[in-house]
Formats: sequence, C-alpha cells, structure tokens
Amino acid sequence: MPLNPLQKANYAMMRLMVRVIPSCRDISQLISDGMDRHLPLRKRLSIRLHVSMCKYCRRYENQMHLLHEGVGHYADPEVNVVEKSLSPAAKEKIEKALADRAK
Amino acid sequence: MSEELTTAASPPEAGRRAVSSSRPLLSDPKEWVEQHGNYLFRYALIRVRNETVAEDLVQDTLLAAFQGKDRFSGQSTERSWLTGILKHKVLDHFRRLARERTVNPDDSMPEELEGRFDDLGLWKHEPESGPTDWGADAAGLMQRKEFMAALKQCLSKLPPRCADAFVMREMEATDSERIQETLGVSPSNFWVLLHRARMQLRLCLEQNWLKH
Repeated sequence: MPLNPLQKANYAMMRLMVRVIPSCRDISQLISDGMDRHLPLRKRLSIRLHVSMCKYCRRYENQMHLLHEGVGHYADPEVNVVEKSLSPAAKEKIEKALADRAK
Repeated sequence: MSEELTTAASPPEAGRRAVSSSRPLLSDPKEWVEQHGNYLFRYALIRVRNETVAEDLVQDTLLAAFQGKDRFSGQSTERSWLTGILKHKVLDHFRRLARERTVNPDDSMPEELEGRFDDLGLWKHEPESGPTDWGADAAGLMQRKEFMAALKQCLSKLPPRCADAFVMREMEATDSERIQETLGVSPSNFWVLLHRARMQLRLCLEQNWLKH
C-alpha cells in the first residue's frame, strides 16, 4: 500500500530526527532492557520522546507488555490449554521409582 | 509435654517425633503422583519444551522431595513446596544444556528481523514493516487456545539459548544475574538474547496468531 502524504511527511521527519535521537532499532532494544532492569533517566526519556513521535515503536512497546501478559497465562499449568498431561506410562514409572525409594 | 516424651524415649528421637507430629503433615508420598504429577509435569513441559525431560524432572523432583520431606516447614502448601523444588530442577536442566552448547551465541539478529529496519534504523515505511495494530481486544484474546498454540509454535522456532533465556526471565522471573550465570553468557550478550527473543516472538505472533 503506497504511503499517504501524511505518512510520507512523518517518515521524512523521522529520518531527520534520527540523526539526533536513537533509532527505532535502538529503542526496541531499550524497551526490552527497561523490562528487566532500571534504566537511567536519560534512556527512559529518550524512549518516551521517540515513542511520542513514532507509532510503530508505540505499538512495539505496547505489544511487549501484551506479550509479557500472554506468556504469564501460558506459563500457568492451570490455564495453559495446549500442553499435554502426564501419560499413564510415565505416571506408573514415577510411582514405581518413588515406591522403590520408600522401601 | 516434652518432659513426658523425654522420659518415654531417648531425647533426640523424642524431640524429632514431637516436632513432626505438631506440624501440618505432608500427604502420603504414594499419593503425590496422583495429586500433583500432572500439574508438575505441565509446569515443567511448558518451560523445558520436551516431554521426556519434563517427565524426568518430575521424577527427580518427587524423589528429592521424598528425601527432604522432614524439612517441609508447613509454611507453604504441599504443591507450592513441590513446585519450588521443580523450579530448581528446571534451572539445573538449563545449566546442563548450556554447558553442552559451545559455539553460536544466538545473539545476532536474523535478516527476517534486521531487514525490517531501513538504513538509518527506522522501521521501514515501504513496505510497511513496523508492528501492525493488534486491535483493542488483543489482551482478552491471549487467554484463548489460539494464542497459546501460536505462542508454543513461536517459542519452538527460537534458537534454544534465546528461548531458555526468555523462559527463565518471563516465566520464572529469575534474576538477570542468575540467568547469565546459568547460561554462561555475558550481561551484554544476555540483553541481546532477550531482545532478540521478544522481537522474534512478537513478529511470529503477529504473523501466525492474528492473521488467522
């Protein structure tokens, strides 16, 4: 789909801005880093500034938090509906190992 | 009460008995597999992504629990006590695997991801290569089977070291330093591994979950 004039202008502006602010590539790394450790104020501000101008990075940041939330559901054995249960054979094997140990 | 017992048996023996009878007891270990086996297996399988390994980890966990059952303090439920042991076994498994892997740190960005940025590092506008709009109900859809099936598929496509780092960080909330030590990677390598995992998962989900 060709870009509309507004998108074109936005892209041109971002190409100018990126000479003085971190790029989307850098910001995506910073967004990830910020989920695991405390970032210095300077870096946090550079994320906020970039995200305020760039809808893709805004979505990226939002989706990183969604991913985190979704993985939380997936990680819960009571909620996860796609992983298998223990097979009867494995159950029997483990019960036997436990009984042997208890002797 | 302790005086009564000390006269009835030799002191250390009596002491142990008195303590264990005052605690909320664990259920009979014979019941463990029936009561918790499925939960523990699924917990392990979600993380290690291999059925045989998950079965072995459950067995190791229950044997270790049996061995250490006198140390159960009763401050948590039996299940969360067992899960705590399993968590250690899962980390040990990742450590063993990491030792077996040698080269290829898996931290470079594949062309599929790198190619979405232009020469200045901006998301390309033509063709539009940045994140698409996931819609307002994305969060709600993440509790559904379709999301979980896609996430499982997408996790399996990550390089193993990347996936292990991601699982420890996002599912287990393990400390970054501990993960670095477990995987034997430098901090800078670790931040890139996680970033790559997230970026690749995001794209894979966008392509396989929301498009269908």
